[in-house]
Amino acid sequence: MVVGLRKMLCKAGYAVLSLWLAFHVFAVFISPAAMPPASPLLEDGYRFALPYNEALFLNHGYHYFAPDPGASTLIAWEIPRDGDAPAVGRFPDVSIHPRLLYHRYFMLAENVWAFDDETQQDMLKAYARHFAGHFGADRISLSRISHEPSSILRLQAGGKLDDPETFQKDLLGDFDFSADPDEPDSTVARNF
Amino acid sequence: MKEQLGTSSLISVLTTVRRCVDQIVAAWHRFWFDPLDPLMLGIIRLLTGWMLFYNLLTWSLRLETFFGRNGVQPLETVKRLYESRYVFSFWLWIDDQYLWPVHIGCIVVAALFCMGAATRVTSILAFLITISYSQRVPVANFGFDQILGMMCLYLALSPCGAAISADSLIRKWWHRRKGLTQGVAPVRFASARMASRLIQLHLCAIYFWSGFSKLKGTTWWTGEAMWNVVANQEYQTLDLTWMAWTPWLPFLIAHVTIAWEAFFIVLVWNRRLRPFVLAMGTMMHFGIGAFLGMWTFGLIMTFAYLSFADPEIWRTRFAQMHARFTRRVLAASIAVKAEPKEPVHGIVITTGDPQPASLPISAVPALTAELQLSRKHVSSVQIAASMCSVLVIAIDVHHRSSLREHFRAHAFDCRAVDCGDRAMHLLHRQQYSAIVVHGSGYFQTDLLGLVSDVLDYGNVPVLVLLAGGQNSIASHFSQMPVVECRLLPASLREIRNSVESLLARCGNPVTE
Repeated sequence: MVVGLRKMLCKAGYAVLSLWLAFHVFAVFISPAAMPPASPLLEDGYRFALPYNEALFLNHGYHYFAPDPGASTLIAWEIPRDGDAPAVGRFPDVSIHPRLLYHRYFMLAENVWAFDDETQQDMLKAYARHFAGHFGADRISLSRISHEPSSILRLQAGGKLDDPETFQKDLLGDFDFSADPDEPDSTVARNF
Repeated sequence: MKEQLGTSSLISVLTTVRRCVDQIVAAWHRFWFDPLDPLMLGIIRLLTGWMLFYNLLTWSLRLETFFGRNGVQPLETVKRLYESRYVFSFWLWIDDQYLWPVHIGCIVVAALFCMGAATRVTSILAFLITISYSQRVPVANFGFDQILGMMCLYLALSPCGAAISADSLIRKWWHRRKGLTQGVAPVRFASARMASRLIQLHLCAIYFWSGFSKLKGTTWWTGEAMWNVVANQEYQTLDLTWMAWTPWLPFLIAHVTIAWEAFFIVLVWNRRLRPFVLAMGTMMHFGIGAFLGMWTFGLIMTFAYLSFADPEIWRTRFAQMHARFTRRVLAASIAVKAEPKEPVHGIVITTGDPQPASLPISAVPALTAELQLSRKHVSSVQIAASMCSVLVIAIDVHHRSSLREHFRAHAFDCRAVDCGDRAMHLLHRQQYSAIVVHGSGYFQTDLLGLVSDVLDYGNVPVLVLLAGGQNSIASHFSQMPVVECRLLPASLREIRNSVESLLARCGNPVTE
């Protein structure tokens, strides 16, 4: 009796494990499949597996350098200083080491545009607050810089990768924290 | 009549269907659950743990900046982003004052995971730590975090602490201390197979979609994409602009990359093509590391390739390397100790060289004395064992491989075969110091015949390991002077000790 029950439980466990494996593989494959453009069928499948994928951090597209590797994005900041030239800078900055940390900053500039408008605004405000706090300033302006890779023809004609024409700068906004209750914390965001 | 025909054809169809279903079920079981040596998972754990440890150390440089409540990833914004989503990150509940204690705790866990200490617990914690860091800073993530999360997830499901780990060392020490016998064969786990398969399939998914997503763009078709990557100054770590004068090269790399990524899912399952497919992937990822500065991403991807390696083959290779290394170290230590400090006149050995090699008279007793001394300092078995060759005959592959590895690990020159014919073939070509016959799987008469056949090749000492039910033939072997029997179960060490005592009895002592 006990042996029979044990055997049955083993079989049930085996069946559940097999079903989970099948579902897991489905979830892993469906997540990138539903990246746009995608059919409603793929989107439905994606939504079905979404909670599982989110919980296990498997909700990825794996679209590395796809569909087209294009311009990279940088964020420039400018802090006005009374009677002096403004303090300027941008990230990612190649002076950041180790390289893994550099990539973290690079992603801050690259990935923020993939989020909804509200999150974008909050993140940009956080960047502004961080750099303003670093210099003890209340006001700061941020710009988005798109850096197009130079073409083969440009290089062959004597151009360089950092030719000024390959950069396009767009003002993101001026941030004023003088009346902000979330004033930069003195212990946080100090060591950029 | 018609009814009978209909019934019989229905039965045959059902039988065929049943057979097909059985085959599918068996194939499914073999694919996912066929027990596997966890060696490669142990190595993957070591490398992934090291990567996680490095990642956390790097976060230490900007912990407040990224993880602080008011850092560049504000906590409230991230929490709002995850509203009504099933995202886990313990960082979402940790206040700024606990940032460092928690972070240091995570680093310690990562170090333990890397070393394979308390791996059942630390592997699960490592996964939770990995996803918690990644989900807390969603904007700062990139491919490295995705792959690290994937690897930690599958390692948490696997017995990755069963090999190359502090856990396994402690287990061995404990067994030795308690005088417990270890299993004859290395332990294999169904969960090791399952985890390896999950890593393999996940890799296939990654490359499949990475390749197909590139086909959505135009520049991968025109070949310009690879140029756009190498000409991206923000990624670039080495100047590759010389490619502008050999444009066919980036175009070719672009086409090959797409073909390789899209077909990885098919080609990697072919045993013959697998080494080439993985070698190409390794080159690609090392290129990403060297030229685009993403070493962490490049390396973690190649670590996942180890799931395709055959642990049996690698275990044997490691054992051979270890035995070779041990022999070299011992030989070197003896040579150093025997070297005379002052050259004296002695025996001249003519070698035909213009300058004959001379071995001083004083060095001869010195060498003997040093050898005696070395034997006392180093394990005496190890010195002599390197000159002993053992042939193992065992039907079962596990018995065969474990005995072979054990003898090789103790510096014996060991070969193992699965049947008498092969053994005769080897004995015909080479003389062995001793032969070990594992009796399990043999009928008593066959075993007697095999031992007799082996003895025909000379008076080679034979150790016969008798399985349950074979005790009755022990008396037959007792009449043979160079044959010794040992009843199973016996530990590998006990078997080796029996071989050594047998050799000593036959005038070929392994010990002093």
